[in-house]
Amino acid sequence: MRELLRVTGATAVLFARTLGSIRREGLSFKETLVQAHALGASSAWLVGMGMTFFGVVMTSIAYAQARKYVGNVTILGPAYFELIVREFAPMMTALLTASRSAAATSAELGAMSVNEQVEALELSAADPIAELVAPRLVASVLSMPALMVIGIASGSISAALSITYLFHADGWSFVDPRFLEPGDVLCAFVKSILCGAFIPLMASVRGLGARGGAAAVGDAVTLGVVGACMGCLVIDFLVAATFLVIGL
Amino acid sequence: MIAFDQVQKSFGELTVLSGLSAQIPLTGLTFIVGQSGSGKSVLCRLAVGLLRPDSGAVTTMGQRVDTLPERELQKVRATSPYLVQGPALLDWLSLEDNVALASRDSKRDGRALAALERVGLAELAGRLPPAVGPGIRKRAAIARALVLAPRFLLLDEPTTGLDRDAATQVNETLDRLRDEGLGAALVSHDYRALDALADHVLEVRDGKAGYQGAKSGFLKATTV
Repeated sequence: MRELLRVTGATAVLFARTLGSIRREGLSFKETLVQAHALGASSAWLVGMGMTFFGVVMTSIAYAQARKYVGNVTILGPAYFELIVREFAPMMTALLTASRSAAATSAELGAMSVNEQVEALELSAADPIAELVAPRLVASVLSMPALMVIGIASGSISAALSITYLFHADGWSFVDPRFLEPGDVLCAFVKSILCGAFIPLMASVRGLGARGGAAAVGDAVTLGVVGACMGCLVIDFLVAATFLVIGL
Repeated sequence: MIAFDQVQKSFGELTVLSGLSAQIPLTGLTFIVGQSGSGKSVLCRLAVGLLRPDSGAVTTMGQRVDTLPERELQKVRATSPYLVQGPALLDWLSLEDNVALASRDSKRDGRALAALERVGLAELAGRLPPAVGPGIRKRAAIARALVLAPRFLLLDEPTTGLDRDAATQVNETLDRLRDEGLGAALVSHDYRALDALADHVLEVRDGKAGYQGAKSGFLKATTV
């Protein structure tokens, strides 16, 4: 519990320090683009493939069960599309991206920490947070909603194709937005942006905190990925609960 | 002057410094020597407030750094930067951009390039660190410290791990900077470099200051 509080506090402090660094030092546009490619664009295939398989499996099981136990499958498609927009795509995209980018960030910053590169920056009056964390934070916040849109497209199109060709039914109802409301879209983007901010911050906290040798880098990667994934699940729950409470 | 007065420092059960008192002048090159683990690097870290002593006082350029808040320590580190032993550059930035990390405006106003010029690397300003040798990377790290217009440099084993040519280049750079009036203290095991470059020597032995004074006295004491 104490460790949970410590890491949560450290993540919040790092967020505040990163905003302060951006305000004070500005943002390296070039490095932000590099990070947007490394953390965002390079994750697109993973999100696309992951959500494609997710869509096929989910709809196949849901369609078979709905036909067996309910009989009426006409609302299944639009309901699935609402779910994938509001819940599945933001969450699965965040988890898939966290597994990839949190590992990369924790490993890179962890290696720099144990090699005293981060300390060297501090000692020469450079701001490691402005150079190492701020571009990752901004790139991730901008990339995650785009990745989520890719996730929605992959998950719903694969669902439509699988229903059409596996069950010979109306697959295009799985891209029917009739149940979709503005609140669903807003909820999805809020989750996506918050997870986009949390993943690099958690990974940076673990990476910058690495001390010792190779084992410390390994621990940083493990804790960075686990922390980022768990944090995204908590964010998902809190945002979902908040939107339910306010009726959106 | 950097002064240590009855400094004690332990890490858990291990006592590294036990009542060390010493002074490092701000002019010339001071070599800090001693056996591995004797606390030479700890002295440098104490001098810029990276570590706090368990007891005793550390004064750097007239300021008690052992009691200074972190914000004030940044100013001390700007006037007497400490260069760690390991790699200090970001691989994805050019040498000039790495040097400019110390001060954002230094690339625009030419100070970054001028600092590279001082260490003989102006023509390599656009190269990335992985494309140059370790000696050049070390000199670029020194250039980054020079951007801050320091009064003094602290270097932790600047030539360890370098081949002879690269080590010679680093030593020549320090020699040139000394001639320009910039003092430095360097932790070193390189007695050949000490013989060629040092003005003063501080020996750390058994957690206390051994010899401290002019190089000639140290060489005389160690050869007798």
